[in-house]
Amino acid sequence: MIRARFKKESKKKTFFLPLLIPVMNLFLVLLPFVIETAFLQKLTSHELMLPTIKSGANNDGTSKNITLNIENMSVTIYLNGNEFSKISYIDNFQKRFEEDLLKIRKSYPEIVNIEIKVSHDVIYQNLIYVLDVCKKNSIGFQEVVYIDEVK
Amino acid sequence: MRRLYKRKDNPNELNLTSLMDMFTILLFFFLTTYSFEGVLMKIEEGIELPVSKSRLPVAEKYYMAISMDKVTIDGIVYNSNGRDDVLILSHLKELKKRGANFIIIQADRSLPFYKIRNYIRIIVQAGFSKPFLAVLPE
Repeated sequence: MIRARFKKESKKKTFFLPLLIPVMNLFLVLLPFVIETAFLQKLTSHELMLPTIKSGANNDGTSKNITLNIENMSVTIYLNGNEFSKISYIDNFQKRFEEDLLKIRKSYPEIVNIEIKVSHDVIYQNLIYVLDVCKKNSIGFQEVVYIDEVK
Repeated sequence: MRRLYKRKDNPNELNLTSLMDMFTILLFFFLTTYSFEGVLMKIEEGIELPVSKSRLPVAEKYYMAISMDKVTIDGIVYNSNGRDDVLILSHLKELKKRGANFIIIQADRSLPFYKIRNYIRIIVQAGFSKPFLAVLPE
């Protein structure tokens, strides 16, 4: 009687095992994904173009160019070397900056690249913010070329 | 009596429905978050990346993490006071030899630009045509 009961109970326990194996397999498959998403992150990036020899050679004075001088407190837009506007970060920056770039873009649709000069004390987040605006679809500069100061 | 026994047996059976429900939820979560573009990247400790609207995926696994006091490349920590610049340059040249096409710059959002500019120069000196700036998507 006791043996029969024991046999019955042990039979019940082994009943779980075959069902749990595929479930555990599934968990094992998902485990790498869980670890990956916990420690690694999907990031995006900004491509920082550098001036090429070709672009330097084409700069014969007749071609139009836009240069942004990014400083700690403001951004100055130069069109063909002449100051177009100077916009402070605290003075409705985004709207004014976008408006000025759009104005230039409409007047000179042949200009597709924009050059940036960055002052040494500019906070990195501000530079990224300016790059965002320059590459915005509605403004549409294809490339932002970073110009370094001569050491 | 037989009915009673049947009821007793039921709790011992494994209910797969709830497990399958859970898997469906997990599967949906992974499918929505998974992207086939770009590579997943580890953000170095102590670095808060700038936030950006850029949607350009990171397409290279080699990165240089710049914080106020240190620079990390491939898990090796260098001093960012300028004394290790030669070592950093040779490390980057080694990465170039190993087949790296670009270097991704991970820099803290509050860093002044002169800290980053120095390493852009070194990256170019090592033979990389352009640096990529890693950002957090908005």
